[in-house]
Amino acid sequence: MKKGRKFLTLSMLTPCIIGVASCSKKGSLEELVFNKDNVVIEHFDGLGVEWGTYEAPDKLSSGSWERSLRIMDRLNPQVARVMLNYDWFITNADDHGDYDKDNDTWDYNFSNKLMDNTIDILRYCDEHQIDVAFGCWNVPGHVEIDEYDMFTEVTSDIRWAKMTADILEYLVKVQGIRSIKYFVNSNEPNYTGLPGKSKNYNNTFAIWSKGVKNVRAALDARGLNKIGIVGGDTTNFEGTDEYFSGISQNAELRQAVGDYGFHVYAPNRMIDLGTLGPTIKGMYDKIKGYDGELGVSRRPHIWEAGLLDGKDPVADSNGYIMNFSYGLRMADYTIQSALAGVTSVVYWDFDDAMHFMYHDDGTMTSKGWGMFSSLGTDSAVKQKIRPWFHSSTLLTNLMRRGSKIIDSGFNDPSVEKNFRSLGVIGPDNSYAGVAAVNRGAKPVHRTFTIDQEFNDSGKTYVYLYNQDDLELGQDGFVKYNEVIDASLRKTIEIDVPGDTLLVLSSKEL
Amino acid sequence: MKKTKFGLGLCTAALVAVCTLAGCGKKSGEDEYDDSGRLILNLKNVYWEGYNGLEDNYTEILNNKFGISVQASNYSYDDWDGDVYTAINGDNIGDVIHFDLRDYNFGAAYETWVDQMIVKQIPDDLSRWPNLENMISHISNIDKLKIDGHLYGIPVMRDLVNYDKTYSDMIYVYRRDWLEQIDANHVGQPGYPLTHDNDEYTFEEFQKIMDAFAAEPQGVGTKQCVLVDEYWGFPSVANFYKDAPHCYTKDSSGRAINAFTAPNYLQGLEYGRDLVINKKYYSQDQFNFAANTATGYYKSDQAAIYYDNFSFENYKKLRVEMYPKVLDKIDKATAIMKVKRDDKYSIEGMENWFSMTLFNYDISDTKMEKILSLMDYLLSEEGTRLAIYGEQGYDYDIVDGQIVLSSRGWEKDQYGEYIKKINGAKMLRKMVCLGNETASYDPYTLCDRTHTYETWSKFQNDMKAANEAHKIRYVEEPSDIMWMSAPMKNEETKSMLDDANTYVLKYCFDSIKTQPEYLAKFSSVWGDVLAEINQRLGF
Repeated sequence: MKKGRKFLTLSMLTPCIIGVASCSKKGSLEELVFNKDNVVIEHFDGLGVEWGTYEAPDKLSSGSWERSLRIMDRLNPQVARVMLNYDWFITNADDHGDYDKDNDTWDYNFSNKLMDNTIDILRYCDEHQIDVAFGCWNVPGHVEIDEYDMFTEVTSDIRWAKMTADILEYLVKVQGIRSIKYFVNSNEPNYTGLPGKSKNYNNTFAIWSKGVKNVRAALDARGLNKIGIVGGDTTNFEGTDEYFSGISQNAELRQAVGDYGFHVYAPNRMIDLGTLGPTIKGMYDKIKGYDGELGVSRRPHIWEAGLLDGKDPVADSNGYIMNFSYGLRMADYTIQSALAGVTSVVYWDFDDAMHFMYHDDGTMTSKGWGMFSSLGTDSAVKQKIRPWFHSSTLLTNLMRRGSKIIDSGFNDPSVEKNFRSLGVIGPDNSYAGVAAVNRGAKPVHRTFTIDQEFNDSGKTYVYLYNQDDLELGQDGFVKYNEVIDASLRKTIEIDVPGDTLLVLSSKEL
Repeated sequence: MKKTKFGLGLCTAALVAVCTLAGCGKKSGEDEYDDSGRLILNLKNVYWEGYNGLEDNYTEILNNKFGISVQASNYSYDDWDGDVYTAINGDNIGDVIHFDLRDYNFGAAYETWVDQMIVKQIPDDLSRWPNLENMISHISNIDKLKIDGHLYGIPVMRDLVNYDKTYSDMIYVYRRDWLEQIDANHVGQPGYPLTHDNDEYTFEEFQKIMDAFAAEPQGVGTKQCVLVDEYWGFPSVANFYKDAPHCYTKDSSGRAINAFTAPNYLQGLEYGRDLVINKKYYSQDQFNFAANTATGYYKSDQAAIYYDNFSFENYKKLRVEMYPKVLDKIDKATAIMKVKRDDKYSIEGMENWFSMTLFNYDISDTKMEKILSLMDYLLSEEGTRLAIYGEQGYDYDIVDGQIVLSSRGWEKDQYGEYIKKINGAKMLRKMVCLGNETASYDPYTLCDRTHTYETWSKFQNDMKAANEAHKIRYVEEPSDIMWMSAPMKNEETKSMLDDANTYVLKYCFDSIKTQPEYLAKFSSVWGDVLAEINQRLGF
């Protein structure tokens, strides 16, 4: 990374001025105070990443798994989404020559690299207390063939619930996996697509709902009642609104789901102008009107987070993924989402080597949305850790499970469209921090004060993410730019460079 | 809403035909509105892969401007016709149909849909939509698309500026880098060099080049065949002889005859057969080629000359995909080859439009007006700016009358190219215009490491000049036959064409052994259909 720009004007203001600031409590656009009156989320669920089963483990470069784990260690997520396909394990399917699906039988072969990889991922999640949303992309069957005759009923097919219960039972009871907290009842069910191109073409909310109820009953019958079902896993606001509205207004379905989960691939402009947060908040408030448990027992989660712009629909890759701006926008996205009440955000995705596009001519190409690539066939440039990994690392390590998320009260994009910030009080008041983005091109002067109790180290670690100032340690991972002998309880004054994510923390992240 | 489309007779069609949008006022379709009171439009187009209308800001700008809520989906390109027919038969059309309207399905589809009240007449008076009216006035053979004087869809213009271009971009590209290597191997020898700086060759030179590629397969790549054709274009060498690309042509008396058995075509066919059977310049796999197989051969160094439809988008795709391998040799590796026979280029004729946007018969007049207004706006200067540059104030500003792109709206990747964003305005504009005219100022086109536009536009200019100098021999079906609707022709042409293409392949690959055997394959249906056509032509 290039270095050399002088970015900080760090100074502690005098106690007298601090006193004045403390008295006012409310702050201003330039003097940001995070106090108990503006707590948005009392108990945050943490940030994470999609870490699906590697579909072609043979394509990984030598030593890449160990490298991936080192990268995951540094990212230190607290939530993950782990997706696979049931097709990989189902054998000896037999419909017994009739149309009664209830008497169909099949076996499982879990002795393959794909299940080995799945279990490796889940064990890592167990060991690192990562909450997992586990699921299956779609019902089994080749997209052109539908050999199991499941595309008509999709997840409402009674065999789907049985398969789900079988596989979860195997993972939980046989393999002893503890980290699975949610089940994903198929990916993006509102994206129906075309016959021959999508297994989901016949899906409707009613079909999906029936599937959720079937799965709920099957899991309960196997004693897997602690695993919730993701309520939706839908993509785009229109489709999500349909599913969330449907769930929240149906008592039986409300009880069957474990959260309100959705995907957001946001256009740059929406993030840049600060309208992502208000859009999410609008939807949140509407659903809250139907279901008072939203945000309480049924938490709002974004299970896939990414940028829409730059998406190549044919390659399912993103053209911005190598740019610094991707990280800045994803940080902005995270801040806006948390300020809107979203309790966890899962970034799409960890490693280019996990998922592939399968083309009609029999070839496959990796989906380029990762924080790096461990594909053996990829160039060194692609294998390198991308900038957005570092910005994400700062946030996953700051916004921990159990944290309080605090609004400054000055994030209204109609008033200030280029600057957004939130305060964090760590679990059990163990630390405090601030995440802020300056989306303008020019530096801005801001002061930051955490006006709440926390276990104060008396230091403030300052991290800057932008093209010029990102600091990496010898291990190649992000490190602080500076440590100030001053507390966030007092006032930290900073010139925040343009196009920058600023993270302040009372502990080293 | 259940439709009763099938079984409705011509009398109903006649009734419809005299209706105007204002006067008829049929409102069988119930308009639906979103939570913001905007009229929901269900639109579909073959070019909209990855676009749903729900996520990008540019669609939202249009939604708010017109009080609409666009919900978009796409047809599969590989099964476009099938998707359309499935939607119609399943009573699931949406508000518009985007259809690959070809001559062979003019009567079988378009005219039938009008009869069966599946598609809605557009207003005769388009003066409220002046940009649209102007565009339609330049559509080639527009009168042939009218039924009883009325139009039932919007032909999608290929190029809003070059209205006069009524020929295709079906041409050859070749490995000029390989040919130069061959020349280098034969410096000073008679007949060399074979390469021409301007990539222009006579038919005789073209044949010598093929001979040279065949003679020196080593050291000039790993090619498996000299010549490869996209499957629908085989045998491309017949273009130098034949008069029409599909079923029908005319003899010297003006009578319709079978284009596949016409003397000129047979000459070209024999030449193609010779290249397959005797010279083995074509791959033996060409017999079973699926879509995009030819491009796969060329990209993987398995062919030296490649025939396809090199529209700007297709040509750019080829170059972008080959670029990582050939880098700065991209111009030579994908050089456009211009071949003249008898001092003329033989190029397939093509209307200045491609495909048509039709309206569901059941949509309300209000909805149709909204869609027409949207189309009209997207053809305007302001609408085109939205489609090409994005939102003023975010993506660009106008400074001293010049467009200045913002770094936030137009970010570059590691190759220095602008990163693509979904722009709903650009997508929706494809309902009326393919947008070839915007390539000359589209930032994505101009900021391209393969510099495709420079090469492609030079070729376009060369062809334009050739056309003006009458140096293009149009290979095309006479328009009075192409757009003729007659019962047997409507019913049979598509299967006749499929059959003829099969016979051609079989003859060239020797599973039909002799020309008489080939000629005998054309069944009596051909005679019946030609008789019907000739009767209508006045013979």
